[in-house]
Amino acid sequence: MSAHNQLIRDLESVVGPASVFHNPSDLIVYEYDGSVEGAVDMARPVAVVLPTTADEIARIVQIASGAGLPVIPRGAGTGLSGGAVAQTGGIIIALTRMDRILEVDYDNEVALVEPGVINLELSDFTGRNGYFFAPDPSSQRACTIGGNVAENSGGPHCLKYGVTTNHVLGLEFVTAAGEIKWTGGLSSGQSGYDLTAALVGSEGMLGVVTKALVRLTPAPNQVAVILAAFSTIESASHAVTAIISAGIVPAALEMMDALTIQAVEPAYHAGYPMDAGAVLLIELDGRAEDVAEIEEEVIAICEHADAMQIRSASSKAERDLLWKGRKMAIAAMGRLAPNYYLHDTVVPRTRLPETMSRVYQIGVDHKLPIANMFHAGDGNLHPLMLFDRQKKGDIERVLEASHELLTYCVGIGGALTGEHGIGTEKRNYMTLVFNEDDLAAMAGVKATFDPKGMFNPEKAFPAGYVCGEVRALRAQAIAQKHGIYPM
Amino acid sequence: MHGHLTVTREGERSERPESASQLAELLAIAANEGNPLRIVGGNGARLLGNPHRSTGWTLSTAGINRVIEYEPTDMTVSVEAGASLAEISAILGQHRQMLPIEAPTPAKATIGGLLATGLSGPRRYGGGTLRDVLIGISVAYPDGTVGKAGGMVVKNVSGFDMMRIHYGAMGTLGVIISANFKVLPLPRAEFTALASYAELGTATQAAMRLRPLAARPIALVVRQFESGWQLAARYEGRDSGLKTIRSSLADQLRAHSQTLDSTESSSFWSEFMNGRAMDCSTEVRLGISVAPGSIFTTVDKILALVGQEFRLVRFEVEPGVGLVTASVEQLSSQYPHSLQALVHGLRAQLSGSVVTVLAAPDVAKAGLDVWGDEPDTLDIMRMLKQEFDPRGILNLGCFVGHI
Repeated sequence: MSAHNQLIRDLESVVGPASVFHNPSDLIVYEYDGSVEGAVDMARPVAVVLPTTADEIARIVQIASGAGLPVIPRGAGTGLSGGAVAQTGGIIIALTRMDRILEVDYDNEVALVEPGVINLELSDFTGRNGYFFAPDPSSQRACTIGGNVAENSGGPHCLKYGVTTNHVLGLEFVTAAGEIKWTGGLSSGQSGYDLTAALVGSEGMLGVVTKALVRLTPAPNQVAVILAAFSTIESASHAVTAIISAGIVPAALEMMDALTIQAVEPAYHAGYPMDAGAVLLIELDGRAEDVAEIEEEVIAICEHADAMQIRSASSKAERDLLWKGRKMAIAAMGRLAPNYYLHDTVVPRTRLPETMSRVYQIGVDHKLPIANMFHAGDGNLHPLMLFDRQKKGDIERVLEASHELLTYCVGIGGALTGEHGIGTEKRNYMTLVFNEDDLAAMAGVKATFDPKGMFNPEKAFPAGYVCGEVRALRAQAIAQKHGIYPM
Repeated sequence: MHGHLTVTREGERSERPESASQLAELLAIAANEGNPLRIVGGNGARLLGNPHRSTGWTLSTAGINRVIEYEPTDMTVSVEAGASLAEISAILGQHRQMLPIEAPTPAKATIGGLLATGLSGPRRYGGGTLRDVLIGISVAYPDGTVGKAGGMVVKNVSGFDMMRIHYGAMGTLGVIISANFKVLPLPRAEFTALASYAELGTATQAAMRLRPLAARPIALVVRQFESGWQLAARYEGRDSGLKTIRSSLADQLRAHSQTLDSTESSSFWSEFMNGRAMDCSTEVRLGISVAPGSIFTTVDKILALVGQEFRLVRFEVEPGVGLVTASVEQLSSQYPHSLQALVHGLRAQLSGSVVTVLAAPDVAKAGLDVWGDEPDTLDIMRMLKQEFDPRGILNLGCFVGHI
């Protein structure tokens, strides 16, 4: 029997034949994720396995390790940086069938969930008892908690409530040695290194998460949503800076520009003025009196920043409608162009106005319409480049514009990614931000958890970086510099 | 030799580098010579951790203490590790901003030390800790290199979370050189409600009544006080919201109570934290953490167990967080057997809890791992240590599992 057939047999013996995909026609949907082809290459795994228990995953990892094959954990495949694509083949472990909410403990305000639980479904479930899971990425109707853990996901409400790592208390995971281990836990006094935090945002490169103990957030007493329209992006950006530096922490502070409004308003009729240069969607929450007071302050700030229109939602239905425009904004982009590349960069908030000017200039220079809808309160931009893949030269112009955008944002003190992760998409940009010593420290963590480099290879680090030989040569060079001889 | 070299009595050797590169160079030298170092910030937590296997070399971070960058309108700050909390709080305070951290002696506590020990105070209940606002870090490693991670923006998922790997790591994987934080606005207003009870049970019950969100305090403590028990609840927000809370408090507290406003309120908590200074050699301090939901049912048992054989000089409960901080009077005549027996007994009787010895002299700690039960991932932790500090020069022996 060929090695391939033996592998399939072995995998089937763990999860059953119905849970192992290996025929090309079954593998096609796993060759890509939410990322843009061209920025991230498609790649075919050898097999996709859909386990339902941590034990099954442990055995799959052991089989993969024995066969010298990489393992790629995958959630819903909504990721935008290529994290769930099997760049060097290997076995994709799809966690989507592990979708149970195992336990909800309202007394301790935590939930124990399997990695395939859909983000919004957790909040909907706990919502009945007045709780929600705070990280709320735009993809929350489809993305999974496991994926949120892998990417340390954010969302509009992380401005006030924090990102995924602020809401994960513990994780069960399968190690490269095929063992099932727990890190963290319910009580606050956990001892040892914060390996829970090491795993969150590790892009599936340190282990396969099989359970997450997450913090639940009590729903606020009062919520207010304000729509403020401005004639220019610049004045809207100044309003953002003014709100943040007044010491106000809104629950969310989102911006959408004119091009976005052109697509979104005819689609959803959320009430965004079509002649606005930009709108701000500001959500405030907390105790009723506090919200009322802060609302007045925010309105005053927007007026001072020359808002052309300010409206407070007067009912839940109105609040939901105002939000609909933002949450469904990307879905409306199809009205403007057949393809888009959604970026994710972060800049210091004070640099927002000049960054937005630069974004538009890049669009003009590369003849690309760029729509902007983003978490202004965090300085986390999401420029959306619109193009047509069928048109000759479009994708090339998009990639050139993308390069310029990333380089600019890093240059003014920003970050490569606020939410989407590095994946394959930005791995070669890591050297814009990090030097060899910085990357070597991260490589040390990778080498500790995954000495053979079997988990999600060719991600996050620049090409060739975590290779054992490279690390050994570097260690030698450093030792010689200090006259230290490695033991 | 770099930095300030002084030889103290007992032949101890102390280094106080003035820059990150000097510090990194010293680490490389110590690694080359195989000299386990004791890394020191303000030294306020010297009684924390398992006994060091130090050769008597001390490396102080106090000379690396600048504010690197502070942009109030951006609400981010970058600080060197040797800067004191008092100094940084004063600078941030001028712009009505703050870091969410309390320390017993802020003038002594260094930012690096606070990150490395992961210690915090009761305000963590609603206000979080430094772990929540850490957005960037720079660390010196024993191979003489300095590695940074994160950045100066509040959203960043570029690469692994090296910030939190060093948080609470007691300097055993690297020496924190500087850290970047998201700063928070100072509250517009605050008050503290104090109430007295005869029994711990009634006091804790009252505390539990304050948990519903509408009236949830930012800090909540029940402590042994004078001949009874005192509940202290700290509220922050805006005047109108606080007024509403105040009016319903009497109902919830059901006891003789008083309120402290603004500066009196913040002074109360400063004094509370002062009382937690850990350099007192006459008390042995324990931290017992349980699931917050079960604190009400466990607290009486903990009180009985801790006070069984030794005189209780401190018993503070943070019901929202699920933490008990308890101290017994010096057990010196029976060291180390007495502390071992107490701790092992607590661990055996309180399954599901984490019992930590927060402060005790080294001689008391023999035969004990002060950090609680062995974590499931201890093997991975040992491998991390081996990876980053193969010669074992960073605070060797003080961490979990005597790492």
